[in-house]
Amino acid sequence: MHTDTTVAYLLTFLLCAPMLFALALLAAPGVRLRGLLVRVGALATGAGAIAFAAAGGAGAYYFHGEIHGLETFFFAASLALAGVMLFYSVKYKRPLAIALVLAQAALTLYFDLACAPGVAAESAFYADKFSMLMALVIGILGPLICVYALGYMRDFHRHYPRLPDRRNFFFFLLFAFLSAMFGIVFSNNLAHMLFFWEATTVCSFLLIGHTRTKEAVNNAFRALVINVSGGLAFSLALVWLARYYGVIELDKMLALRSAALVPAALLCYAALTKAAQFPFSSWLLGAMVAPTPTSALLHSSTMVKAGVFLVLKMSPIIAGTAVGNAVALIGAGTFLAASLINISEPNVKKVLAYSTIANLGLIVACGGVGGPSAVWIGLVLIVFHAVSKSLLFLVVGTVENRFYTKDMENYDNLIVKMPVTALLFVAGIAGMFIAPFGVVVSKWAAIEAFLSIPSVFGGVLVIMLAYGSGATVFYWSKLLGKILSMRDQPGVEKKREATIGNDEWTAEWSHAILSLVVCGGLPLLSAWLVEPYLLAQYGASGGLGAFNYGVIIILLFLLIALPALAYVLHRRASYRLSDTYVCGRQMDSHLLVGGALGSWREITLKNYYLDDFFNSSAILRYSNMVCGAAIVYMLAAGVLWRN
Amino acid sequence: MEKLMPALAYALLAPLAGGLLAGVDRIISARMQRRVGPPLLQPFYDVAKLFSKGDVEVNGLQYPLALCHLVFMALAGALFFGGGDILLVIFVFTVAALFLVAAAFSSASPYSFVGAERELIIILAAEPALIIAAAAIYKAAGSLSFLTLAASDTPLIVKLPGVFLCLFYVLTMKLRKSPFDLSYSHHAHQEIVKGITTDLGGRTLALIEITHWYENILLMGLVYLFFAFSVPLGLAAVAVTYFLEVLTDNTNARVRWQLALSSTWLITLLLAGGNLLALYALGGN
Amino acid sequence: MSLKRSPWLLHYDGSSCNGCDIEVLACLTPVYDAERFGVINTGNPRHADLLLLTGSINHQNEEVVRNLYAQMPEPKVVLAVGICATSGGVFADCYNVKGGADKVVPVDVYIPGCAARPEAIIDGIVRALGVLEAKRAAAEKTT
Repeated sequence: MHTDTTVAYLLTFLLCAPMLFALALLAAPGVRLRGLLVRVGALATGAGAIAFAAAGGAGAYYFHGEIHGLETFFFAASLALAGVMLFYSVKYKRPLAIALVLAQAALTLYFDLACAPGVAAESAFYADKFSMLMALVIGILGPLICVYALGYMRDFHRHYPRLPDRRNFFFFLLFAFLSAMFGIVFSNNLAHMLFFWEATTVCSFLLIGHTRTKEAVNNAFRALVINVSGGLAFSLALVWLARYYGVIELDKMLALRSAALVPAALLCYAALTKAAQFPFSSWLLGAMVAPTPTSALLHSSTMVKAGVFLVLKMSPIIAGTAVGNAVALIGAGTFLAASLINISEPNVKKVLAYSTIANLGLIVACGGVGGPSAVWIGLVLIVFHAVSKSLLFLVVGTVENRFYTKDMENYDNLIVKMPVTALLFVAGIAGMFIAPFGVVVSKWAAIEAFLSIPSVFGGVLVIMLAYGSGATVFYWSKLLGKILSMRDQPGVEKKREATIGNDEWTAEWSHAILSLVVCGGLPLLSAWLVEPYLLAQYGASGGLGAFNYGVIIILLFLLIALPALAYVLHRRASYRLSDTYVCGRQMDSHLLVGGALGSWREITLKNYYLDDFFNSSAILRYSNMVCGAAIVYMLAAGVLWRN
Repeated sequence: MEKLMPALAYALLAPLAGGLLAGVDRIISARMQRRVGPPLLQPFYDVAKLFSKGDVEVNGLQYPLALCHLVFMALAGALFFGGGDILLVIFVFTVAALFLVAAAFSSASPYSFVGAERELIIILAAEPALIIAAAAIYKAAGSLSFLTLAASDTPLIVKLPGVFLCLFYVLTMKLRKSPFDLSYSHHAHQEIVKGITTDLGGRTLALIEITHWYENILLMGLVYLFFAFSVPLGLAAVAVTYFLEVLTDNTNARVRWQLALSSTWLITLLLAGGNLLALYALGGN
Repeated sequence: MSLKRSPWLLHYDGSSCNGCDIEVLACLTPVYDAERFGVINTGNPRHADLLLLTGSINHQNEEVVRNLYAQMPEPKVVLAVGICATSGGVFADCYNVKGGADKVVPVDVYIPGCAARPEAIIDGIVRALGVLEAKRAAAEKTT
């Protein structure tokens, strides 16, 4: 452990700078200044994150030293957060929320006043390779999404002129959230981490309810209730740690290993609520009513990643215990159930949400299983999923602002109507389930990691993964097919794409290029950020091996080059375009077929949703029951098996 | 280098072997129906004819996608025979299948569309079985490389009987044989015209035929793995399996997709899943 | 050369009484087995080389026949199977039929009969193969 001033300065920068920009945005008058602030803030944060990751050496940094007034600041700030939540809960008359917020505030007060003074805390902040990886994800994707939001919100408010324009507050929340996320990944003091954790809850709550419609408010409170219950568990873990172990720091807790099983189980509970695993998934589904930048930033690439971040951090403590097994079961069960439900889901944003939940389930399962190979998978999957899912949300937002629909059936013919957007969409979808992109590579590695678990439980996990994989291919291919369908003659409606602004193009293209870079650069990513962390924690590392990396890179190259080349070369060739076959009947460009007696009938082509097979409400009910039971078991096991 | 030779051999020879296999398939089917059947080299004549036909395409996406379908299928097979990780091979194999599905989706013909949806259902049904099969092979033999497994003495069929039976069931789907020829069939009894290939003709269809040959050799390689401890037994097993598939094809009518999906998933869970869990319980690798 | 060895046919009933259609299908059965010549009955014009038309074509399906013919790739051959497709047969003077396939698409081989025998149909197919080869050679000379 050693301090390095550059790293310390950059860490402070990353913690504070987004918040400063946020406060400036709150006060900023006018569109121009707001745009400037967002762009400069995005650039600054991104540059800071990259510099931060580049500045770090191989080890971890723990920052000692007293910062005057830091404890007072955190104390006051957490009270302020509780106050905000209480204010809204009272204003909208939500007794459950009021009760939970008060309980959490009471516990925090008890902890701050009674437990914390008795415990020595050495280093408030730290930075290891995992933090740097998370910082890159937050610091590169977050700013890009904020820039995208400039264009998106402009179109959004143009379409909904009756909605109050509170864009300053919206951008304030986005940037404040970035600070909070950095806080989570840099806090060694768990009480501070709890504060940042609650800050993200509040940001999410306010962002979901931003449009203040009845549906938005209801969903915001559902998210609040579930996440605050997680915060409650977090507080309980803090109290337990302070009272029974005299510890409030993450590194000291990890040093206790499985002695700290109970607080670890409680922290896992908090993490599972944040990551919207079953039975807590309903809040994430409800959060999809928020404007798309919220979904992209909070609910796919960053905030929910805080949940899996915590699970992976707890992994050395829980792995190999009943708690770890319960967590792995919840993760794998979530992966399977969410994938199955997605088959019959027609709403595109909900498809993306369930897919997020499923991939988070995979990471959680890896965390529960533990060990260097599984945790390796978890870390790289965080990166891969964040990039691709964020890209998908951005593209869906762009399409949504032009066609005003979330139904998958209306995404027909996108490659003709909005060709470049459709291509980016395909890139995002490919990143989610096509080999050799990262998510599939992670799934492949996860199956092999679970195969090395000696007990039958490993086999059960593998079977769950196998069925979930099949379902994943199905629901993504459906959407892919819809986008690639060519119905009308080209040239129709292409002008819609001209209305997309530079902000959105920059963000989307950056994401697409990033998804290629992280896939092709997987060996570098692994060697630079992931393996050092694993070596530090476990003394051993995971990974795929040189041969497999080579295969991945060749496959990636072919996957990009071949279709592009084939398409371009084929366009040069002369060929006759003929009509679609509809039993020889005449079909015109609007899908009207000449029918009997001179009539014209329209062809409608809809996807299979297999509703009879995959009754989503039944799957939801059963998986909530099973995962709920697993949660109870997890908490109980921590108590019953503690030594 | 010793990985490159089998991969190259596959890439160059698989179309020939696959075409001959297809020819044998048609002759055996014909004899089962008390007909004479076409000459052995008929599939090659068919493909040559398709290449010589004029172009008639519906849109500019189909031919490039069919070409990608071919290349990725060949890649999957080359990866398999070159000793690559079988689980990765399965994922690449799925990617190859998806190119064909995308080519079919790109046309507006309802037959093509329904064919593509049914092809997705076939992939949905077969994927868990293939993944569990690969997982079980790893558990039983400790390796996922064809070359290592072929050279070893472990009789996989003894440890993995359930997986093999499940694979046989799923093979019927992948080889597009009745009762599971839902999306595309070589038979005359069509319900969705030519299904997934309805709007694909000429050179595009020729590419798809050749891809079928690559695919069949890859699948036969997977069957061979279970008997790889003895080369003559392995080849005999492949021959018998293929014959049984042709027999199944000629004696069954097509089932509805609901039955195909539910029966496959159930059999996968019981036979393949059960086999895998048994391996864990009995202390595999 | 390979065109001759792999003639795939599309069979369309243009208001036939189904007698010739049954005979066409009989060609694929064990007794006559047209698959010996590599003949496959595909239902799809895009895969077909030969278009077998039965029946005298009426006003409702003449558009369909034209579309099917257009959707077939070159080189292609049309066979009129049965006397109704050849010249209208007993229905030649009726108001509701066109009076033969060659009123709608260019026909290359005529196979008379009511119903045409499978042997005659197979003979016609074999002759059509020759026409197919000639067309392909002519097309190659012009390109």
